[in-house]
Amino acid sequence: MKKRIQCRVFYLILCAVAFLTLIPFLFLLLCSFLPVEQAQAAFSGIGGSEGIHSIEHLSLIPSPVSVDQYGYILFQNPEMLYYFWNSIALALPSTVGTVLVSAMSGYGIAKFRFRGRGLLYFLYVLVMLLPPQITLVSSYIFFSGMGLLGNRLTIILPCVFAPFGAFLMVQFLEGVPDHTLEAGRLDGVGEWGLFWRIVLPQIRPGLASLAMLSLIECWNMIEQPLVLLHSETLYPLSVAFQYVGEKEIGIAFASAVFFMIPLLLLFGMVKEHLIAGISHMTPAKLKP
Amino acid sequence: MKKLAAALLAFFLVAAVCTGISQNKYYESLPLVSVQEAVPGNLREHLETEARVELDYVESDLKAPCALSGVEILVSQGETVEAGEPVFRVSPDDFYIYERQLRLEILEYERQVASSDETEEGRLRAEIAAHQLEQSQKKLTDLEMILQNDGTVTAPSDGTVISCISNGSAAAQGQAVVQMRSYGETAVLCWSLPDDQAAYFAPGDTVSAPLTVWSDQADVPIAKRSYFDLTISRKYYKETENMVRFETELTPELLGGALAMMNGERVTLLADYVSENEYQRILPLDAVVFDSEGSGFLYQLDTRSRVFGQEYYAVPIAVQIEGKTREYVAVSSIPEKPVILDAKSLSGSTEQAVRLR
Repeated sequence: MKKRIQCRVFYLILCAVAFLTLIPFLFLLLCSFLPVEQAQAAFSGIGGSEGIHSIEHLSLIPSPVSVDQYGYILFQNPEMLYYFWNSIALALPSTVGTVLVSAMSGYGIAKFRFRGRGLLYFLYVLVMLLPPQITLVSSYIFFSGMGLLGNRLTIILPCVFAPFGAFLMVQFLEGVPDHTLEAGRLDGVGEWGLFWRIVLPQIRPGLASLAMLSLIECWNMIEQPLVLLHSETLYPLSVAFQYVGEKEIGIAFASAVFFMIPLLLLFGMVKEHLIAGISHMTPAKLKP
Repeated sequence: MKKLAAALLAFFLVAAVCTGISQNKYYESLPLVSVQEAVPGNLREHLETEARVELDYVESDLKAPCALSGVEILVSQGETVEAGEPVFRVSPDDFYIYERQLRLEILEYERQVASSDETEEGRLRAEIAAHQLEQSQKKLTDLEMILQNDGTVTAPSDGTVISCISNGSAAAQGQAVVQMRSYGETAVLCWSLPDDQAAYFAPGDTVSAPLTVWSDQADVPIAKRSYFDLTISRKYYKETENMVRFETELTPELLGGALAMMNGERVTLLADYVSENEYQRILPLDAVVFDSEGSGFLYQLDTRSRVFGQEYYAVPIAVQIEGKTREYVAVSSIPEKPVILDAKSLSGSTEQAVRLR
């Protein structure tokens, strides 16, 4: 009995903490249904001397509930939609490219024996440990030398060739039995055929995990576009949010919600693969 | 999973459609502008104003030599008459007493001249009498001429009737019955401009004017409208009106033949001022906005890449004004990009999207 009570208390605490983590999202969602003028009046003073006290009297339940903000960003001014499509234009090729390149490089490292393989893998891991902010300056100089500054490729290329993808794929590919590959080779399947028809179907959860993680990384990227894109018209929505001023504060909440929707839907689609993939990466002794 | 994929697809579809709708709406709301390259050249000023033709003239009045009753006026106001042409007529009976008075005066003056002595006083009296005698003889000659024409008075020279008494009315001795103005051969086209505009023009500059020319070669004057390039001959300041007056001479030679122009005729004057300095960049004045301190800035057209294509936008740039007229401005230090002409339709000093006409 005592143990059950303890368990319930523990669950209650967990629920409270879970609710705490949800507060920003709920706040965002509720505020997105405030009328534009009301949101603007409430939040425009937040950057001033009043600070957070300026929203003390704001009711969290919108009254009246309004879809003005959504109407404005969808039908009045395409500015936020432009930024949204900029995000798509960066994230989509990055994700597709990452999955393809990482799967191939991971396959090479995991399944081929060649001189320097261990060193190469070590370098991959080493580069992966460096946060992107560290390599930002060298990236800037590199792309400047190539004359690509202000081009979307400056964001897409580093994402596509990021070592984390290869590292992740190596983990999954090491789980693919070598004898299936041998069997394929005996049946006369070439290396491309082995990769496309035998290897990739077996690491589908890994691909889904990698795609989702890569997409999230690109979708939420701020520093790289800010430094490398050079033009406000190319910035993704994640960067555009930092320019939200007093004028745009009334539509910022709806824009943020709109920005989340594709990721939520995608997460729903690949949720099972993602969990399987993450559990695959987890050491066996930590698995439930 | 399929439902979520369908929802995701629907989401993107909605986003694309909404982008199209809002983009169209947004595009329609953008200010419509025209652009022009800033090119090297001179400052130009096109001026359109009203000028007047002034002919040189002599005024002459035909006065009643004596009290006249029932004057018959044979001309009308504004009519052009030639020398010897009848102007008005009176009854010869009106001159009966006047003629005799003149003859009597002549006899009196002749006697005074003849009876003068050798003294200084006598000599002066004789000189006065001789002068008066001459005047009276001239009046008598004129009167005899009138009487020979049955009381008709003719114009002494070519001219235009500027006023006359009403037909059939009486006139006192010495009263002007008909006032005439005789014109010379040269004419002057004159116009005035406010001080600031007048600075653009100087003697020697050329202006263009449409003039009505009355040819005196044909029996019936033929009016024709032509444009002439005329050179400003004179410029002087009119203190009373704070204006500057310009004059240009109109001569028959200049206008290509003999002519008789109507005095006071109004014509439209088209002047084209071109500065001597050639500036690096000239723009219409509409392209520049001046702030309260007189500093100018303009909007330069640029393009930027949007997700769905190129977008035009205006970039405000402060410029140094080197010179200006009412129509053009010379500026320096702007890049080699087209400049937006409708600067006043844009507001603020931030970059803003525009539509091209």
